[in-house]
Order: sequence, then C-alpha cells, then structure tokens
Amino acid sequence: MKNRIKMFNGMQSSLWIIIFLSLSFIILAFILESPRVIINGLYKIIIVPDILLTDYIAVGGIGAAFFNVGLMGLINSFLLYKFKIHMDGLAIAAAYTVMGFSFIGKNIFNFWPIYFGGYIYSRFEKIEYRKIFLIMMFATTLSPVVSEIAFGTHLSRYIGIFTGILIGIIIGLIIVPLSAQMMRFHDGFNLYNIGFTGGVLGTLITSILRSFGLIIETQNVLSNEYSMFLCIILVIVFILLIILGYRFDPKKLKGYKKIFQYSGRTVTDFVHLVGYGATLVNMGIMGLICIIFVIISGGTFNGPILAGILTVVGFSAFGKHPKNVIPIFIGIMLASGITIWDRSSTLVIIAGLFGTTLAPVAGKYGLIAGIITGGLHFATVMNVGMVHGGINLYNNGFAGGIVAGIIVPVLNIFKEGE
Amino acid sequence: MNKETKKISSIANELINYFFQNSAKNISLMINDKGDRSEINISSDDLNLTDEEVEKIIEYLNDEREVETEEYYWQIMGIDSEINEMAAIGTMVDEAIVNWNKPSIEIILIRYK
Repeated sequence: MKNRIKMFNGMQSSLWIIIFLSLSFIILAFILESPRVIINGLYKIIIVPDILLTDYIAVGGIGAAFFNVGLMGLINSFLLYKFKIHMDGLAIAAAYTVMGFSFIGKNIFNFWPIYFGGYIYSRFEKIEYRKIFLIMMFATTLSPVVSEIAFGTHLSRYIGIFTGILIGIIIGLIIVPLSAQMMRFHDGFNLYNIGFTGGVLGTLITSILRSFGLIIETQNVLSNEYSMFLCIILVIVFILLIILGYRFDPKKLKGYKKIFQYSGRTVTDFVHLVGYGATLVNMGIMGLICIIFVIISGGTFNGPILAGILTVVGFSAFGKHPKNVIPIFIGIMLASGITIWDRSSTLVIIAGLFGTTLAPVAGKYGLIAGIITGGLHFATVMNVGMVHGGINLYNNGFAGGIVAGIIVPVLNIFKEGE
Repeated sequence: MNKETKKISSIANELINYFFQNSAKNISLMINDKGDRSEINISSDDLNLTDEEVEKIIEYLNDEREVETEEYYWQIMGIDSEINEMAAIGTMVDEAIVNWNKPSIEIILIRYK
C-alpha cells in the first residue's frame, strides 16, 4: 500500500511555507518602500539586461527586489499547486532556487517564454506538462537570454522583445532532452544539472549572437547597503524552518543523523528518505551554516549571496547536508586564499555557496576528495562565466558539471583499487 | 526503443546493480509487458542484506508514484546503485511487493503506462 497520506501532508505544508515566505517578501516590500517606488523599481528590473551579476536590489531598490521575489514565489506556487506537483525534495529545491535567483536575474517578464517553450515540447511529446514542469522551473536559468536580447542589444525595442521571447521559447522547447543527455556526463555528482545544461546551451547561444556582432559580456552590479537587515531576515527564516521541522518530525530529530549516511548524489531525496520534518531541519541548519560561511569570509549580504543561500537551502532537501557541504566550503576557502581572488568579494563567496553543487563528491569519496574538488571548482567557476557571457545564471552548475565529469572517473581509479 | 521501455530497462538495471553490490551470485530477472502495465520480477537466493535494510527497501519502494520527477533523473539510474535510489524507483512504480526469506529475496514491481 503506497504512503499517500504521509506524502500528502508533506506536500501541503511545504507549499504553504513557500507561499508564506513569498507573502512575507511582498509585505516587507511595502513596509520598506512606497508602491510608486516599487512599481518604478520593478520596471527597471524588467528592462535591465540580467546577465551575471545583476543584483536587483541595486537595480530597482530593495522594495522592488522583494516584490519581484514574492511574486515569482507566488506564481510558481500557484503553478505547482495547479499541476498537482508533490512537494518532495526536487520540487522544494526548484522552488527555493527560483525564489533565490529572483534576486539576480529571473523576473516576472523573462521566465514565461521558457515555460511556454516547455509547454510546446510537452505537446510534441504528447505528455502531461506537469511531467516536465520542475525541469522548466530550473530551466529559467537562461531567463537572462530573453532580457538581454530584448533590452541589452542594439536591436530596436520591438524586434528585440520579439527575438528575445522567441529564443526563450526555443530554449524551453529543447532543454528537456538536453538536460537528460547532460546528466550522464557527470552521473548526478553535479546537483545543478540544468546549470550545466544551461552553460553548454548558453555557450552556443552567446557564440551565435557574438557572430552577429551582438556583444554579451558579464557585469558586476551589486548592492551593499542592506547587509545586516538581510542577514537578520535569513536567520529568522532558518530558525523558523528548524522549529517547524522539529514539530513535523514524529521522531523529534532522533533520526536526523541518518541523513549523513547519504552521499547526496542525484537521486537523494531527503523527504522520501528521512521524512519531511528532518528535511526541514536540515534546510534550516544548512541555511545557518551558509550564513556563518559568509560572515567568516567577510562578505556582504546582497542579492547574489541571498540567491546562493536560498539555493543551498532548497537543495538541502535534495542531497546537501553539513557533512558533504563543509569539505567543499573548506576547499574553496583554501583555494581563494592562495590565488589572486579577494576572499571577501561577492564573486568568491557565491562560488563557495553554489560550489556545493559538488557536495555529492565529498559525500561519496570523503573529506579530502571534497576539499580538492572545492578547490578545482573554484578555479573553474572563476573562468567559465566569460564563455557564455553570463547568460546562464547557474554558472556554478556549468563549472560543477565540468569538474564532476573529470574528477569522478579519477577518484574511481583509487576507489576501485582499494 | 521508446522512452517507456528505456525507463523499465533503467529500473531493472538499478535493481541488478544493487543486487550485485550486495554480494548476489545469481540473479533471475523477468520483465513482462502486459499492455496497460509492465511487470518487473527480480529475485536472488543469496543476498547479503540485514532485516533492517530490507525493511528500508520495502518502505522506499512503497513511496507514492510521482510522474513529475522521473523525467529529471531516470537516465542516470543504475549507474552507481545505493539504497537511496530504491526510493527513486518507488516514485517510478505503482505497486511493489517484496518477499524476503533471508538470504532469498523476490521483488515484484508494477508500473502502469
């Protein structure tokens, strides 16, 4: 007999938490700024080219950025509900990733073409759209392509918008079979598989656009004036997750340490493996660890850092836990200490946060392998952004795929020799 | 081979690898296409598993079917089989029956199309 009641309860609670978070961001937006400022800011967010790194707090103000995040959360929650998606680990990861990246590149304009492209694909394949909806949520990693072509090139406004939307639809149309193909390259050791797919596809798109003289270069638009405020909000959210998780967990966390026995490689869905309550607690603990990592690194809490932390928290329902993430953090901190990069810069800190896409390597092969992998990832991610010009938001997923595809076969030599 | 057949193959592959990783020396596998559903029957009489591990397998295989997640990961199933992937199989099948008489095991999985 299948466990329908248990999963149904989990689904409902998880979706409600995301709706609550989204509404909280919207309410905060209107407390912090007037409706007029928010609407003007939202317009700026929509028309700005969103390639990495574009902090919406710097572009449109904190009110507009919060409003955008809240709306994106609510729209996607509605679609998750409408398509009757079970809120297991993968769905939680998708929802938090979308909300996180709504601080730095996804907005209420540029994700729709990709969703529509996915819908056309589902019609071609004669499958229900809900079967690929979670992939489409991750596929919005390439949303900046839509904005960049629409508003960031020398094309006239209407031709630009039309072309941007068309390219977005094409991305949605082809991303599902591509992502399945790319997964085999790293065997699930890179958790942000769509980031790897987006990087490969983004490289192709950027190359074509550059061939026609359209310049696409990475940028660095960052905010720094709300660091303490954002940190406090995050601490409150993560403590709430821990409290809720404790309440939901029938074993009252006695089984939490079992989570450490899993490598985290795809497919490691903690909602199924350890239960919904322990998963929420893991998400909260991982969020607090991320905050400590940012503080130790001397960083500033801003849009990109929030995106990184929320993504880690989401994937803490689908593979990440303290034991497999901390070695990656150590590797990246050591690598940033001996290379040319400033350890406290946002670029380096998000490399650390998103670098945990490789947590399964540490989970499978141990502490030393995890530290080495973190270092290799850092060297790679600081260089691959220019290849796709920053149009792939999950740049670390791209780098992580490359690193995992190389290091896992090498580590297997030693493991199989034991 | 159509995608549905490939998915059945990947589930079977996952189970075979899991059996091998747990010291199976002989494995019997039968797959039947019964029109509206596929049935996978796999058994071995020398599997090195504890009762607790089998309890976990039963629990994982009986997770609810979730058509909305399998598109994301079915292609890598069977590559490096760990017990957590039994939960992934559970989300890809509608019914699961496990008969355990240490050290013999028989797993029957039914997946509706």
